[in-house]
Amino acid sequence: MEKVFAELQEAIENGETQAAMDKTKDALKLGLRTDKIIQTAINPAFKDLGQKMFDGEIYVTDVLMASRAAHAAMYVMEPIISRFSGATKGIVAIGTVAGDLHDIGKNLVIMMLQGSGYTVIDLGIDVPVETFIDAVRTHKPDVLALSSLLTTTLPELDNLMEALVQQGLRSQVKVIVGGAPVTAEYAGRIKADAYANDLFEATEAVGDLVKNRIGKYAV
Amino acid sequence: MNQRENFFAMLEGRKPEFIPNIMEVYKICIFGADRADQPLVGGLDAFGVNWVVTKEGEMPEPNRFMFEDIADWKEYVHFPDVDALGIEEAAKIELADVNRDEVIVNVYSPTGLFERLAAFMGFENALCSLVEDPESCQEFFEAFADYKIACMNRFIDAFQPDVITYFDDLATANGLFMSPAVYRSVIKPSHKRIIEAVTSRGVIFNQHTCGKCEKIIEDYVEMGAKMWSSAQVSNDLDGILEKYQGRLIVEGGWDSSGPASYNDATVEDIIAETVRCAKQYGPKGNFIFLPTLLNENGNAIFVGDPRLAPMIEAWHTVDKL
Repeated sequence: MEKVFAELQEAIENGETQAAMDKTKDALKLGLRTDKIIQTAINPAFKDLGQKMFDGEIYVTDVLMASRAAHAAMYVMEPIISRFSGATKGIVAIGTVAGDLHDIGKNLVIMMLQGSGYTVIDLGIDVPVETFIDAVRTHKPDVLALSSLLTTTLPELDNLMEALVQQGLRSQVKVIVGGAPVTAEYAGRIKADAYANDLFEATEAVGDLVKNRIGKYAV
Repeated sequence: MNQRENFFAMLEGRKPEFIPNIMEVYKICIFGADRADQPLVGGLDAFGVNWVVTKEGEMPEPNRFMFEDIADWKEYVHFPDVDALGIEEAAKIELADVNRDEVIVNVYSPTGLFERLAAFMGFENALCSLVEDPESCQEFFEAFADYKIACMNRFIDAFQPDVITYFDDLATANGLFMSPAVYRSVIKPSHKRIIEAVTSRGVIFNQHTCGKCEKIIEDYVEMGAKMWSSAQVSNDLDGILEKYQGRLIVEGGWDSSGPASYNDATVEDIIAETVRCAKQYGPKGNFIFLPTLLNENGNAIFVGDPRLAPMIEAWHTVDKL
């Protein structure tokens, strides 16, 4: 049992999509639960990758390949997961704010979150405040994740935070912000719940927010 | 010394009289790039990629890819006829009022090897291709380098520039997109050909790479780049200025994620950052100041901003060496 977890983790870290699918199937054949597979193989793989990224040992290409492998593992488990309502780790609505067309960082975060077992609603790029508000009302996400890659669109983050308050929705959803020009200081200034500097921090921070924990990425 | 004399003193490793800033040292030429690489006002480029204009520049239309498998690139990529791009006409318009005795003529060449691949197939596909099918990527880069070199030669003939600034963003604020080994094996051979094509004609090569790319600065220098922009603070700028004194001019310095880059940054914030750049990086003698001052309309240098004048005024109080 330990062996199959280790092999799946290794396959994900190495970005080996086919091996990740095969090992996931092996784990399921052994009767292992999907949540156990996610917790014992996929999450540790991302944790390892996050540390290696932080240490400068790996690069975006490696993370991308690993995310694809994790996606493949999730794909194998998806029919089982979807049979059990509530099996998701949480719902995250994510989008790039109005005026900003960048999707790279957002898409990487989505891959990581999905690979880690979250349900992600991708609102896309250039998303107006009203769309974020509608998404909170409609999908009732645990977390609203906002990306801004342009300094010129930073005020949109502020506008959205204000709109959440005005619409009486602020207490219903946790907000995490990120993107190249965003800083922890800026996140604190607009009263977001968390700030993440990269996709690994984002995944960890979302985990804290979903569980109502004050984690190290809280602002 | 005027701006030009001061620049060449810096380039040749002699002591400059003052620290240059990009607003005063260059005549920046972008009309050639408009025709050869990416249209300034958006729309289709010469390859058929659609560009959309944002407040901070143009970018390929998101999620609209020409192909998704790098092995298919030959089916989709048709190189434009360089003779038909109108580079000579662009040069005539742009150089009409330049005083070559005073300033440095700097021709921009955006959309380098990796950026062009990403423009065709999207960022994620491009990155994965570097690892999954490096042979096809190398083949594409070789072919695109041929096009780029043909354009560079036209730029040199038409503009007679002092500097060509070649743009290829290869890094995030935290590190390179790809490992140095992947860069060196897949991209660098073609990159080297482009640099050699420019430097062999006596033109200074300025490599523009945003983000934390310090792990491949040595590669740039080794290939013949004499300048690097937009040197961002996520790199060890002090160490790089020190290490490459007399060999590499570092253009940048501005903390583009700091308070001085917020839209609502005060004049005091901006002056403080300006003074920091001059005092921290200027004394090494191989630094050019490149501020990133932004407002709700975009980059202040291109769209104007009342805070620019006090910033330049403050700069002139601290730029003497």
